[in-house]
Amino acid sequence: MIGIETISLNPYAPRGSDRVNLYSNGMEGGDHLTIGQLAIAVSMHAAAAYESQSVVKMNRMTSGSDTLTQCAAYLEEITEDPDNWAVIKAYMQNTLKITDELPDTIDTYDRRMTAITALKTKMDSLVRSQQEMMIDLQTLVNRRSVAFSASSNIVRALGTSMSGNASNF
Amino acid sequence: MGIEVDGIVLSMKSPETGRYLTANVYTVDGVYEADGVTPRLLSIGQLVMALCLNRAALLESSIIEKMSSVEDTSEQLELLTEIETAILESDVNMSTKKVRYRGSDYTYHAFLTDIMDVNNVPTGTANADSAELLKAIESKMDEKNSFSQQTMIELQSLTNKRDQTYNMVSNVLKSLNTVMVGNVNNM
Repeated sequence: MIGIETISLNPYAPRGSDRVNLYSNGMEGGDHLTIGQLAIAVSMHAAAAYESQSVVKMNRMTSGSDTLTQCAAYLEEITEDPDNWAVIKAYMQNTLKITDELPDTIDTYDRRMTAITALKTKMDSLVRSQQEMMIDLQTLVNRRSVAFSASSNIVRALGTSMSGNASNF
Repeated sequence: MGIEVDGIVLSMKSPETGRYLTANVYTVDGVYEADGVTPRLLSIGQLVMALCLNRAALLESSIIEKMSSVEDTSEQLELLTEIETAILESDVNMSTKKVRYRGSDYTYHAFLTDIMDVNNVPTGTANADSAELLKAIESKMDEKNSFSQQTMIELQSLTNKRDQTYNMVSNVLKSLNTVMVGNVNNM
């Protein structure tokens, strides 16, 4: 929450606005801020919120990529080394949460194809969500940039009026 | 703000009429002498200054209101991120695990349901497999992100208006001063 602190009088301003305000944003070190500093603090806080969301997305993407790598390795194994099927099946059911019925062995072409189709379908779904997360990530990074631009624009606007005043006097 | 015009008699007589010349002074609601009661007599420059500063003060209040809103949204976003991360990392009991918001402790369930208005939040355990809940949290975060960004843009617009108000004071005073300097030079 933003707090307002009044520090001095401005003899020309109307009553109620005849003071110079300083602000606090309730964060550590966020006391006695001018309106420009407050604008920076608020924008930085918003940028930090976007950034932490981006980090969560990136972690999820990394984890998704690891899963996809593992899936690709198992897909290769299904075609080349049917002996490891029990481990692969457990992974598909417990980690990938594949609910389709999976064969107990993959010693025939049809059974092997059933296993491959189930795994590929899951991989397609994982790739889609990876792509969605990538788009979300871009949006978040853009929002973070907008927060920094806003901070910079506000500070520039405040600076322009001050330098304009100074040059007029 | 009501403005009234008053005249003060100068020590100079009009060559045509022989009467004392008067100069206009102004009073405006809200601008008083140090006693807080007597209206302050303002020159035209001071009047412009008073009006513009009042406008700037009003704009500043709106700016602070918007900033409070952005701050609040940022805090909510941080807590939503914290909840999402906790759910993704391990099994979380939604009715016992808490977050602190505006000085009070809320369970994840209470925060999401009562403060964030998220529907169908489970009261039991949630984890990375709770796809519906994660989707609902992310959807709320998207909504808050858009709101925050929109408010930030409105904030820039208001700050520009405040900037223009101060420029106007400064330009009007400069122009009045230029006229006075010109008159003095001509005499």
